[in-house]
Amino acid sequence: MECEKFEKFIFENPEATTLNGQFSQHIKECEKCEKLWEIQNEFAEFRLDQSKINLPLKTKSYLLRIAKNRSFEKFSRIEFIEDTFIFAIVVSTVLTGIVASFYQIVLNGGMQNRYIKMLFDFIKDNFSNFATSFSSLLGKESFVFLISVFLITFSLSFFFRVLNSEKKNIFSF
Amino acid sequence: MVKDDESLLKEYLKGDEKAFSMIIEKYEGKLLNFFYKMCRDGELAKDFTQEVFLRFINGAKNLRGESSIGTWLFRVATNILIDHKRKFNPPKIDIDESDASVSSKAEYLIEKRELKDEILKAIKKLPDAQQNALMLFYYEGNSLEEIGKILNCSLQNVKNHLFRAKINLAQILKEGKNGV
Repeated sequence: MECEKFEKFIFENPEATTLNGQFSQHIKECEKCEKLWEIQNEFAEFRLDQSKINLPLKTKSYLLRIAKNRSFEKFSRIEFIEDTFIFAIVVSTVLTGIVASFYQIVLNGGMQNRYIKMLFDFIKDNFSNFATSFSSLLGKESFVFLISVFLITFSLSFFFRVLNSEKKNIFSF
Repeated sequence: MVKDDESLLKEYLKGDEKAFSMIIEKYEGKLLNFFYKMCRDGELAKDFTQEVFLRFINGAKNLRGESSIGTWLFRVATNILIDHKRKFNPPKIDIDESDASVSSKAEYLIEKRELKDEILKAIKKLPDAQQNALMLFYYEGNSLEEIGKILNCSLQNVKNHLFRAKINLAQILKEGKNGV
């Protein structure tokens, strides 16, 4: 009966560090409740002392520096991929624009160089659909060309940047 | 303004240095107190606290789903202490048996230290909810109502977790002594 009362007291008062006379007597007689009281006291000691102590400033600045470097590494990885992506978009757009304009010039008879004319005649003869469609920047082939150039540029630039990058830790996730 | 752990963690993971600084402010004292009480060595307490924050920097992204940053930090702190005690056994204290008062005090201190070590190891064997409740209430100093909000359970449930944790610890310690 006393054990039940004592357990109820511990249940209701998880931060208690003192006992009344009745319970004090009980824990002297009951090993199980004594152990429970010892454990409660061990933990209550932590709760009692919540005094504010701080880490030395030197340690704090060291930790902040490490956290900052970690965050910089993480963002460098994102920037690395972003830069490559932007580079590939610019290269593929410019290249597609140049090729499409070139076709326009040739188709309108503006290109007089006979070797280039021969080259485009060859393309026109063998890939007529492609050549016709490419005369417009909105043509299907222009789009396929743009995507292909983008993928090739992105892959190559990513590959070479990884090979040549000083940030070798970009894969150290 | 005091921010809750969840938003602090989110901001830290986005790369906000201030959030990390606030996490240090919030937990440095609690961790230092914890380590100091467990090993009674100020320098060691500082080193261990630094180690906990270093592990946080490297492992913060794995924290999603934890009830609070504090429970994670104290879990790490417990592991660090257990590892340390495994590597460095505490020095034996020679008791001068001719002086009864010194002898009984030394015995008491040894018993206290042993109990601390045993509890530390036994905590790891408790279910997560009970471990979290113990850490949030005793080590972090939260109120029962705050813990209810953090763990998303009623006040009675929090009390129950705390009570069951202590009963289980007593049982584990008893089994340990009996060599079960």
